[in-house]
Amino acid sequence: MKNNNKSESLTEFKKSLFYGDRNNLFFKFLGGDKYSEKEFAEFLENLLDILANSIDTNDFEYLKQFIFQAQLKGYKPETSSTKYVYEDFPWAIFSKKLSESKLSMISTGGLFCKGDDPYDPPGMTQEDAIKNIGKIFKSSVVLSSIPNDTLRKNLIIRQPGYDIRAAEIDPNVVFPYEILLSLKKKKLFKSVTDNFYSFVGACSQSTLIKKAVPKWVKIMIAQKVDGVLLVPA
Amino acid sequence: MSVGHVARIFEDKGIPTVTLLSKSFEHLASQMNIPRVLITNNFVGRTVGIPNDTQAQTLVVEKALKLFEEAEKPNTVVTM
Repeated sequence: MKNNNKSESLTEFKKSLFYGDRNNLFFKFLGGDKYSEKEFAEFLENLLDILANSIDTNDFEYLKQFIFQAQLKGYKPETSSTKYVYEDFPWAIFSKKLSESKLSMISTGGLFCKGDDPYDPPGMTQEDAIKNIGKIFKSSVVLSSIPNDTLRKNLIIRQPGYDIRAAEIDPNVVFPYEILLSLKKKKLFKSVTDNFYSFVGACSQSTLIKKAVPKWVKIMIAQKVDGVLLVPA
Repeated sequence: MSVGHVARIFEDKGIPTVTLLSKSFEHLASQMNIPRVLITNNFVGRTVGIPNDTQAQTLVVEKALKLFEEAEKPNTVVTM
């Protein structure tokens, strides 16, 4: 948070939410180009009105919907963007019954086990990762193996691209490993890989495509996986 | 975007995938022709649901996994 007496324009305040002095990964979409200063002001005005109503009625559902709609606008794609627009339709046939299949999972949530930090030197905090997001984008893309019986207390989450607070409360919000194990018990499918996997989705797409994923294909084929659930943060 | 690339390369190499996307990233499904997609009405960073709502999280994951059997053609996109 800023701690000086300099006056600040609304636009400066808005921009500070996007990796600035008031970085807020939940609301970073407000700091980008999708919101003009006028739209940002309208958002704040409406937010305060709805918040007051929510407090009086003790009903926060409309508030959540208001913020959800604002987020949709904030992530709306540029119509002129042509990067990573594909014409082909890759498709692998799922040949087994689900109940007879072996599944795995990969999350982009940036989870790893204590003592297995994928970044060198180890021990970087989430705050440091946010400050160094440029370096993280340029680093190699590492797939962390997470034994599927890992206790929550042994999981670390560090990903500068999204607000990790919910995942710190319950990792299943971006890495539904306990949900998968529960569904296996119910025999929705037959088995899972001994490990589930995660990497930092805020990464160089070129490095991901050319260097990382081809190795991950081999990991999955070696384990005779029938299908993989992919979960972005 | 990262999951889209993982999905595309895995499928190309014969590994079926199902991809979850929160609604804010719905556009990636058609932009990247991701093979099987379940769109969730959840916030970014909470793709599967809110913390400790095991019931809702289970519904999302169960519906996603059923797409392995139910999806009949590439770029099948289903919304929760």
